[in-house]
Parts: sequence; structure tokens; C-alpha cells
Amino acid sequence: MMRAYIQHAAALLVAALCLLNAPQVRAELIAANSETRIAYLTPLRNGLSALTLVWPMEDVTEKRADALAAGLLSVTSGGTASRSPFEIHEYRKLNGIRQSIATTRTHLLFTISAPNEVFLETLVHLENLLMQPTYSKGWFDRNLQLMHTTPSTLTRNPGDVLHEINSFLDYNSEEASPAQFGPEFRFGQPSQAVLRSDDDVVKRRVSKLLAKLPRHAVNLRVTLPKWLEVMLGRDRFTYDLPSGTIHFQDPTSSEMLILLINAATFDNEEHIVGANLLANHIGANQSAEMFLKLRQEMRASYDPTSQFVMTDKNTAMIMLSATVAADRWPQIYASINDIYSSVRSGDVSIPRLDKQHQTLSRSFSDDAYHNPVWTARQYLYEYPDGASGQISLPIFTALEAASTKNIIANASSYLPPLDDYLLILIGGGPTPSADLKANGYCPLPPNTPLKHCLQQLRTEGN
Amino acid sequence: MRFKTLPLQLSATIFFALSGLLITVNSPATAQEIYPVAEKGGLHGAYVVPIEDFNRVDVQLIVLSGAYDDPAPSGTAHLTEHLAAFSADATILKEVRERDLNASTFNAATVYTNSGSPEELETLLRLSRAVLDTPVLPDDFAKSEIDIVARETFLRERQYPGRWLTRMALQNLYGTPRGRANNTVADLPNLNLKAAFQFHKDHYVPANVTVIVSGKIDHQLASDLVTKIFGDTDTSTPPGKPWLDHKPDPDLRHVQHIKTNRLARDTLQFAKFVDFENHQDSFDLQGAFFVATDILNTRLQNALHFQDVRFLSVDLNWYFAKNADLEMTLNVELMPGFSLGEAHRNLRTTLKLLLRDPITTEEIKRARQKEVVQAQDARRMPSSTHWFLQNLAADGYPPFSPSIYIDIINATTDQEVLDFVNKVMEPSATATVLAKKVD
Repeated sequence: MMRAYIQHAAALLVAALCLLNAPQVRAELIAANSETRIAYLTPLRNGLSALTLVWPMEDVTEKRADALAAGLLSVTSGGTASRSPFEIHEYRKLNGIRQSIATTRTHLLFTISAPNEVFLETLVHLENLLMQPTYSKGWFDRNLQLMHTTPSTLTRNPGDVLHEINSFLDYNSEEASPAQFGPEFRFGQPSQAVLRSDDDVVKRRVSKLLAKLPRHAVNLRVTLPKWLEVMLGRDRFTYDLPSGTIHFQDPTSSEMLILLINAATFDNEEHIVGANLLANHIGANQSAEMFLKLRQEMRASYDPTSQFVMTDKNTAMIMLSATVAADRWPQIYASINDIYSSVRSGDVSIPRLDKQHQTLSRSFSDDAYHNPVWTARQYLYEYPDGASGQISLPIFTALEAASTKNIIANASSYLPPLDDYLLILIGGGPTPSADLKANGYCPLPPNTPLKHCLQQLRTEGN
Repeated sequence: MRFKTLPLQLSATIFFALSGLLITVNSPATAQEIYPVAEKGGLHGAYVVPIEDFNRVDVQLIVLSGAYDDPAPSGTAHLTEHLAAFSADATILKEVRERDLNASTFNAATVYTNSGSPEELETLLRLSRAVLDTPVLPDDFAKSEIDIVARETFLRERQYPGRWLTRMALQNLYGTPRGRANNTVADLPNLNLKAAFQFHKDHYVPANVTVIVSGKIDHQLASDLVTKIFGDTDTSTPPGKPWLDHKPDPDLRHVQHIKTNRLARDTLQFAKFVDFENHQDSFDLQGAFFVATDILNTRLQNALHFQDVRFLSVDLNWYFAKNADLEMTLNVELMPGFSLGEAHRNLRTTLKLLLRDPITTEEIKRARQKEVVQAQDARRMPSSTHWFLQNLAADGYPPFSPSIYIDIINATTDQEVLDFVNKVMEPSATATVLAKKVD
């Protein structure tokens, strides 16, 4: 009863804030309630400058997150008072301007980059986009449609499965109301900005831009005490996937996608780097175990692979997958088990793990100096509320200091037990054995998103 | 292989950090000279492209034959690519790869890219050279590679249904499942090693191969190494290209309706063939091709994407063959509620009226600038630079670097662009597939 009362009171407070804002702007204003914190990171090394604007996005449903992303895409592409959508598109192409929208679990990011020589002009362009958006409902609706992921049971692409899993983990599955979001959004002052330029004129222009962006009329930062967040249910965002098996059976298919996935939480960066290198040794490239054994020895799959995807400071998804002949999938699944168990037991060659270390270090370095979106994510993982003073990213330090010998010795503590993984089977072939159903089993109906089964398995697990 | 791809969606994209990391080692700005290697043995071509900005070196070995050169069964060139790559690795490498081999079978060429640090250049050249040797692999391994190719084909077919629709449209356009069209999936049961080894024997001959070395290298030292590794290749006879003579009936206007559960949305696939019958060779039309197709892309984009929000996505591809045959394919997904019939009528009207407003000098200037900006952008990434280098080289022409490309774009006259545009938009053979999504 107390919980319901507090939720009701909080809802009234939110409603009151909305009413205060309503007469001033017709569109919904997405903006921070405090000054934007600006981070100046090392300039890019490819002749480009970049600016990332960050808006907080906590406790949202997938539907709401899609609407926000579609709204931001519409604002930045759908026309201004002086330029049509087509003219904006042409302007970007004529000047080599690129822009992208990304999300983390708690933030919405907009990144714009351009050659150094036109970046100042690009900032003026960005100001016009944010201050004078004029997009239509049709434009928003189409962008919203673009946000809808094609069901992974249709494409059977491991990346699409990851996307569905990520949405399940990132967003609140409880629809608070059947409310329609959008189409009218405005994006005001961001909570953070990340600049990749050392040009003082550019820095001043960024500050000027941020100062012009609107804020909420009521400059109130609402920070709820922890006990109240718990009562409101805001602690329901556990970073955790159920174990068990999801099975989408397609008797017409000659192929089967086998996919094992775990949402892992780590103690520190050293453990993350260890798990990342071990996961890469399992399947990230042509020198990895899955390629050598499943493809080259067993001749069983074209695309055996592993992915290690950092999703926050101490969390990552570890995924192993292979598409195989439908009738052989139980045998290949057993081999994936063997490979994983062997690596987790520490049966890893140091020189080969050293090569994975070199490859990952090269990749981190390349991304740090050439990929502003990747770097902004890393920054936000470390400084979700902004930084002051010197900025350092401990994941880089941990990678540089990594000892492959120690990683191998600690493999069983870095990699989760295989029983903790969720198994997803999409395609043809025999149904899973009783053993694979023991930890939970959900047959996925046709044309149904994975979250149907994810939710069911999570409920059963609880 | 000159072709150009333009996804006509907004350039803003959504990243969810799940599509892998972008790997770029790059920097901008210096002009890229291209040095032909004089002592190249029997190779069709060999070039060295020093690029100081990249602390790496890449060797592209381009076999000037690809999927269009497939005999029956389709997929033979692809199987050959797999066999040659693994044979080369087994011959040269004594341990597992530190950097993945990148090998791809395109329409008119097969490209092998070996990458590494500058000091690894000789090994990379040896790996590339070994691709030309008759594949030597254990029998079981070679035979089972057919299964791997089948797995890959099914995988691509599922993940990119546009490939299937395009194949259907091209089969209708050319009236055959061979040559510029293909019959990849249906032919899988017939894939065989004998055809693949014969393909290797006929097509992987020095006279049908170009080698490009690019990266942080001294051009003379690199040239000497190319000569050392490839200088002993024999004189040979390049294979014929019968598919270049196969052209559709100019009066063809084929329309096919299908229902499918393989697509996420209703989709329209269109293909058009243009015969530049007064040209035997496309080299001199390069600049006009790129500027003209930019203008056409922009006008189509404006009409189908910016003026009509019922078109969800618009993807255009242009393929300009060595003999100046042009093929355009267009794939559009529809918003819910927008009928295929209406979309088809809209597309036909758009194409009919596309040149109603005369092309202006300013429009050509903008198109030229966009091409220049795109080339400058490509110089920031090795993968984009490689794409430039292999694009024309895959037709047997000398490669273009981004800086040379910019020179050619700027040297193209407005009249050449106008002539090209007008020719493309003349009535000619077309094929359309209207695909209705069903559950």
C-alpha cells in the first residue's frame, strides 16, 4: 500500500512538472536540468573534429527509447525554418558532415563530425537544426519505423539477436501506460558534451551553442533517495539474463543458428580485459578456437564467432554463435561447450593469447583516435555524470598492463560458467534434449520478439 | 568493376554498439601517387601506392574474373576463392593468422587482401603470390569446403534478402540464370571441385591478375619486392568474357509479382540495362559516369525519399562494365499501408519525369563537389582507399587513388555529364519485382 501511495505521489509530481512546462512549448523538451558538463578529449587523428551531445535517458521503455531516437533523428534531418530536409542532406554531403545517434543504458547520444576546416560552420548548422526544427509527422513516423528492428528470427543474424537482447536488458519492460510518444520533440541543453578538437575558436563556439539551447522552465534537479527509488521500482533494471533455452523451430530450414549469450558483471577493468581476451581467443577471428575447430577441423560452420560487447563500466555481453547444418546442431553445440570449458579451465597457449592482446590493443588505439562515438561511450561508462579535472579511462590502463599468464591462471573467475548462459536456437533440426530444457525452456512462437521468451524465463527463474 | 552504391537513407544512423567496432588506422590529406611496377613478369598489372599516413601495408591481389564468369554451376568462382585462399595460407604460413585474410568474390573480379605491418611486406606478397598456384589441400578438406560455401550462401541469403530479389530481377532482365545474373542457391547441389580447379586453371593466370601494394612503404623497395616475388610469372592468355556480349532485349519491360515470408516489409526491386552502343570501352567515360550518377541519385532520392515519406528506404546500385554496359538496380522498402501498385506507378512516373527540369550548371557543380568530398573522406580510411584502388583495377584498368579520382572528376566537362545522363534515361530494358510480404 505504501509503495502504491508513493508511486501515485511521484506520478502527480511528474504531472505537475509537465503542466508547468506545457504552455511554454508545444513539443516535448528533452533537456538537462543543470549546466552541461563539457569534456575535451584528445583530438582525432584523421583530420576530423567531432562533438557528441548527451542527454540522460533513464528508466525508459523500449517504445519510449525508440521514440526519443526517432525524434532526435527527425530534429537533425527533418528541416529547419530555412532549409528543407533535402537541402540539409545536400549540405551535409557537400561538406563531408556525418552524424549518428547512439544509446547507452542511460544516455542518448548525438555525434556530429566534419573535416576540421568546416567544423566551425558545422556547429552553426547544428545550432540551426536544434533551435529551429520543423519536421513533419510523416517524417517522424518513418524514422520511428526505421527504429523497429527486424525480428532476429527472420534474419537469423547474431547481431540482430544481440540487438534484441540489448533492448531487453537496457529498457524497462513494464509499459507504464499505453501513451503514444512523439511526434513533436525538441532537444535542449544536454547533460554532457564531448568535444574532439583542440581549436580554441571551436571550443568557444561549442560553449555559445550550448548556452543557447533551451532548458526546462523549472530548473529543478530531482534526486530521489535510494529507498524511494527502490519503492518506485527503479531498481528493477538488474543487468541479468535468464539462463535456459529459447527455441524458434523452423522445420523448413536446413540451417540452425546456435547462440549462447551471457550478461556479465565484472569486479573491475582488469577482469573485463581478461574476459575480453579470453572470449576473443574463443572465437573473435581466424586465429581463434572456434574458427580453427568448428570451421577448419569439423567443417561445420562458415561463421563461428564470439563477441564481447562492453555495455557499461563493469558490464558486458559475451556471445558465442555459429550457423550450422540443422541436423548436426547438437553435435556442434557440444563442441562449442568443449571449447568454452577448455578455455575456461585455463587450457590456453600464451603466445596465441598474446596475439589476441596485440590485436585488441590495436583495435582500442584505432577506435580511440578515429571513432568519436566509441570513445564517447567509453567516457560515459567511466563518467556517467560528467568529469572534473583530468580524465582517464582505466580500461586502457588495464589493457596495457594485462598479463596473459595471469589471465589464463584466472580464466575460471573471468569467464562465467557455461550453465549461466542463455541458449538461443533459431532454425531447423531436432528439438533440444531434456538436459537443455532443465534450466528453463521457452518455444518461441512465429513472428514473436525474443523478449516474449526472455520475460517468461526470467519470471520462471525468479 | 566500376560501381557505385548509394543507400538513399538519411546519413544519420543508429548505433547500438552491437555491430562490431570500426577499425580505422587513418589520417588525411597527402596525395597518393601510383607507381607502375616495370618488371612485373606476366602479370596484367602491378602498382605501388605509398601512403605515409597509414602505419601498415596492404597487398591486394585482384583476379579479373568473378561471379559473372561462373560456368554452370553458379558459385564456382566463390568456391575457387575459398580453395585458393586456404591453400595459400597452408603453403606460406606456419602458424595461425595474426590478421584475418580478407577475400571476396565480386561480380567481375575476386580480390584477396593481405594486411600487416610494413616489415611484413615480403610475407604478404608471398601469401598473395601463392593464390596463383594450383590449390593444394587435403582431399577431404577441399571437398568439405563445398559445404562451407553452401553454409555461407544460405547465411547471406537469409541475412540479405535483397540479394535474392536482385538475382530474380536480373534473371528476368537478361533472360538467363547465367552471366550477369546467377543461380547461386539452386545450383548449390551441383557445386564441384572439378569445376573449381578448372576455373582456377583458366582464370588465375598472371595475365588476368593485378597486384596493388599500398601503405607506408618506399615505392622503389616495394617495387623491387614485387619484382622479386612476381617477376617469374609466365606470359599467359587471359580468359574470355562471354557475358559482356549478352545483352537484354531493349524493349523488355518485365514485371513479376511474388508473395514471400522472407522479407520484413513489402519491397520493390527494379533493374535497368543501358547499352552505350557507341562505346567499346568505358575508361574515357569514368568521370562522366560518377558525376552523372550522382545527379541521378540525387534527383531520385529527392523524389522518392524526401518528397514522399511512404518510401521507407531507397537503395541504388550502378554497375558500369568494361565494355560500357550500364546496369542500375534499385531496391525500395515501403511504409505500412503504401501499396506496391501505387509505389510502382510512382516510380515509373518519377523515372519518366526525372529530366523534365533541365540539369543546371550549378547542379553539375554540386555533384562534382560531392564526389570530391567523398574522395577526400575516403583518404581517411585504408578500407575506403582500397576500395578506390580496386574499383577500376578490377576491370583491368590502372587503379585510381582518391587524389587521381579528384583530378578526373574536375577534368570532366559539363557536356560529357549531360550526354551521359540523357543516355541513361532513354527507354531501355527493365525488370521489376513487386514482393508482397506475407506471414
